[in-house]
Amino acid sequence: MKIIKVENISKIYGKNEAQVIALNNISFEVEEGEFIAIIGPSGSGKSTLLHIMAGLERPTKGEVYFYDKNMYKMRKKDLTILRREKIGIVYQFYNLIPTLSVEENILLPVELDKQKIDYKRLENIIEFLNLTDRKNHLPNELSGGQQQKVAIGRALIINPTIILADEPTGNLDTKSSNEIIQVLKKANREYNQTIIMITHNMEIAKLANRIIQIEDGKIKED
Amino acid sequence: MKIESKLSFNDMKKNIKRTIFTTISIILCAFLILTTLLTISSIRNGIKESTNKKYSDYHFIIKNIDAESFELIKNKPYIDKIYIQYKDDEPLEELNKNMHPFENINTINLYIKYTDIKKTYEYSSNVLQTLGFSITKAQNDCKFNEKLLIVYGLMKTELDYTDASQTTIMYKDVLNFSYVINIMIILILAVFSVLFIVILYNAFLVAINERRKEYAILNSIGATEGQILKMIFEEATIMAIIGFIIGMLISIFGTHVILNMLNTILVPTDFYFNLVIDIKYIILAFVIILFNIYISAMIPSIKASNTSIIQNIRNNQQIKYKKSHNILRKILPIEGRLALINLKRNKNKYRIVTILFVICMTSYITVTTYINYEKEAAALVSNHDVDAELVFYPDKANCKLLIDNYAKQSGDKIEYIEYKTMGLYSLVEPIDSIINDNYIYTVENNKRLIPIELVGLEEKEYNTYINKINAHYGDGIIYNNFLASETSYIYETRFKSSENLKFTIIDNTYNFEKNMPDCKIIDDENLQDNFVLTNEILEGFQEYKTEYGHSATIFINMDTYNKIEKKVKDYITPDNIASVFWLHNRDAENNFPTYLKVKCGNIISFSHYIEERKNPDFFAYYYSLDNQEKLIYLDILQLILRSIVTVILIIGSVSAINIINASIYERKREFEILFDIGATKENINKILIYECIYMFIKASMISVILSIPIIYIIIKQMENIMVLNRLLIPFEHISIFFVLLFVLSIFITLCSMKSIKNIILSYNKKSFE
Repeated sequence: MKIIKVENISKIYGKNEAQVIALNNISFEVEEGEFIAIIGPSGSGKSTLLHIMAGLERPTKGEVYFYDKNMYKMRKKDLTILRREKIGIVYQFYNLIPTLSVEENILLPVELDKQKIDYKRLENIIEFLNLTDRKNHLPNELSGGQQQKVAIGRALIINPTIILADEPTGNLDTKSSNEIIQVLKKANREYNQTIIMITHNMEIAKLANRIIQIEDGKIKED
Repeated sequence: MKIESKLSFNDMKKNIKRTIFTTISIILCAFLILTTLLTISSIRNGIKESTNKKYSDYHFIIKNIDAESFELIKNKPYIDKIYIQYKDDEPLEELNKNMHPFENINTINLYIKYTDIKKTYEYSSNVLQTLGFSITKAQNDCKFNEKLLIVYGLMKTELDYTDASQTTIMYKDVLNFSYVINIMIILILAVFSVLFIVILYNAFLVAINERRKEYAILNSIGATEGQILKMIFEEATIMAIIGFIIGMLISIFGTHVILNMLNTILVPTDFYFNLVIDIKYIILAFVIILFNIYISAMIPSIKASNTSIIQNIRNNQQIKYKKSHNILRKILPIEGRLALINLKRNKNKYRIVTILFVICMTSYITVTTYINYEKEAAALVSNHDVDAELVFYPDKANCKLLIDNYAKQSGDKIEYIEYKTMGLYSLVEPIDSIINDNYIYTVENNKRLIPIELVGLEEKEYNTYINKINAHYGDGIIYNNFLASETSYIYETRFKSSENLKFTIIDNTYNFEKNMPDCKIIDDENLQDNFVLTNEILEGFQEYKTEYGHSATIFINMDTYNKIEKKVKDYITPDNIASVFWLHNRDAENNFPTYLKVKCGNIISFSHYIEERKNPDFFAYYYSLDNQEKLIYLDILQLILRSIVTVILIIGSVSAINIINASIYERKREFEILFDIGATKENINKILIYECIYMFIKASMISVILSIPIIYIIIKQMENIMVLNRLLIPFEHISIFFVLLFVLSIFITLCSMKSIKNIILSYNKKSFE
């Protein structure tokens, strides 16, 4: 089943001579359960594409459909709620709330959604991420890899339709990078979690089951 | 705890300094608004209480009312109390159920107090209509307690018909200021609101900018704008409540202090202000503060939400850079240039601080100048160099005893000059001694007739005068300088020489056959020789120098005066009074008054003392009363100005510290780079000092430029009242104020340097890791 459909997306920054075409007429679809790696050199437009799919940036042209709903025809509030309930986002620099503990960071989307907290699910995720003995720590008391795991946990807690990861290993050493990729792979394998991951590392990209290559704002290979 | 509340609370704790500074700003805003409102309400209350006490508790008076009319109005629902007066000048008695006022009398005077003083005119109209009074009857028999009504803004009314049929009359408002105080309060609150929004907006702008990234992260994982706004408002509400409570407590104390200071200034008057805590003003102030805080928090939140989420997460804020002028590059060292660049980059943030400083400086310069000019005008406008004058008939009243009793009772320093005066007609010889012919008429045999003013001085004053001008005992002193024009200060001399000068007091009765006065002699003995001419006036008689219309004034000792007075008294009949005197104050029994010119320490207290004991046997004039009251008001204005300027300065300083600290935080990376390339703590501190100096110079220049046209207007206005030959701008006070402001700016900078210290500490720690 198609989760996301990207149709003729273009993103242009700036005006006139200072114009930069980050994305140029990109179209593709994402099926449920896919683990997609989007790869490309620096400045190719991969992050921009991910942000547009997450509803964080509006495309200059084109449409993005989430289960046949046009995301950018929705009201801002509805788009935010969609993001909260259906899309998990993992950033390169973790972007955790520094004043909340591991547990509180992971629970953030649930509490924002005013849902009842499923503590069993929380425990399972913390265990899945190997953070049981760190659950009351603050982000600045964790290593880079542990912080990224927390970010993944925050994405997983809402049982999202799709996880969008923007260079999740970009700021990590090799060992931590491998750990993170294993977590994502496990989520995809065991929970049929649909994942789109941005990377510039071909070795990491090969671990996905579909690779989309972007260059100069266009899909070079899918 | 809900997640939004937890996040708000955590943020406040994490940025505790910011939270404290913002709360201090709120405290100061609450203090300013509450102190103003409580002071106004206490003063209003005090004025009403004092006026009620002094001018009695009634609003409308109906004289000569009969029983039938009384029955028609006594039970009107809007009448609170009725006082009855059986005869004029008798004390009032409050009407009660057991009274039968018309038992032994046909008409009485009614003093009515209404339930709502502000509707006095309306109720009184209804009373007149009920009684069927005509306009004439109402004008003769009805009166208002004007002194009391004025306090409530009811200044003037007039009787008129309600319609063309002219059968029904009513009181029409001519001048009603009862709403003025309320409008003033609304205006003050509106101005304060704008000021508060400006100040608090800045505080929240800094706080929200610091957390843009966090808000963007929350937004990206599903927090709606409403939820983020709720967090901000929760934080704002907590700070508002804490800030308001503390501000309220300080303002109650502050109002108490201000009222004490006012009471000290107003000691000579009847006014005394107690602190009145009106709960509705506290609620009103809280609502206004909360409203302003929400507006201040909302504007930067909306601005932040309009930036893209990704941009906020990446902390990409566009830095607009304006190239500095080449000339500045040559003059300023690198620290100065960096400071200037930073000020330009953060123009919006620093603007608020600049505005606050400009408001303070401009207000201080212009209002202090205005007060200075008004005080000078108050001193110059008076024609008299004494505070009061009493005119009494020694056989009937003893004003000297009255004054002595006042001095004993009040402890006030009091002096008086006793004299007598009358204006008579006189022939003057020799005619060639006269220079100026104003008011001089030529009569038979080419003699000159002149109105003279004789002033008889008691021994002490006479001796003082002759010593002053080196005359001899027995000389008549002619004040030879007089103001010749009503509109300008041009003096003229009457007599050329005092040699052989003679004055013959005459009867100025006109002889129509001869076409000139008969000039019957009243006295040709006592003003015949030994005169001295002088341009100097005796202290206490300043009005002879400054008032237009004084003719030849001759000061003589009391013995001589009494001799002339006796002759005049023996001469005058009811028919020739007008032709003997051109100035006199005789009473019905032909008694001539004595005058006392009085100098006292406290004219307001003196005037109240005399007025309470006044009777038809003496008159009193209070020359310096208006001025004294004016000076009191100017002192109060100065007090208000200084209080407001102080509070605004404190608010401005807190804002400035907040902004500079936030700016330092934002430029942390910039400072670290500077340290990397070899800058020292002193270099960085210099940058801050330069920023401070620029802000101060900019604020000073703007305030001086703004003040110039205002001062020009003040001077032009003052030219209508007095001749100005020098500038009365209080440069000294203004300079001291500017110096204090500069010191305050440096203090702000020093506070900010602490933040640099923290950056250095964290930088050093990083370097060693």
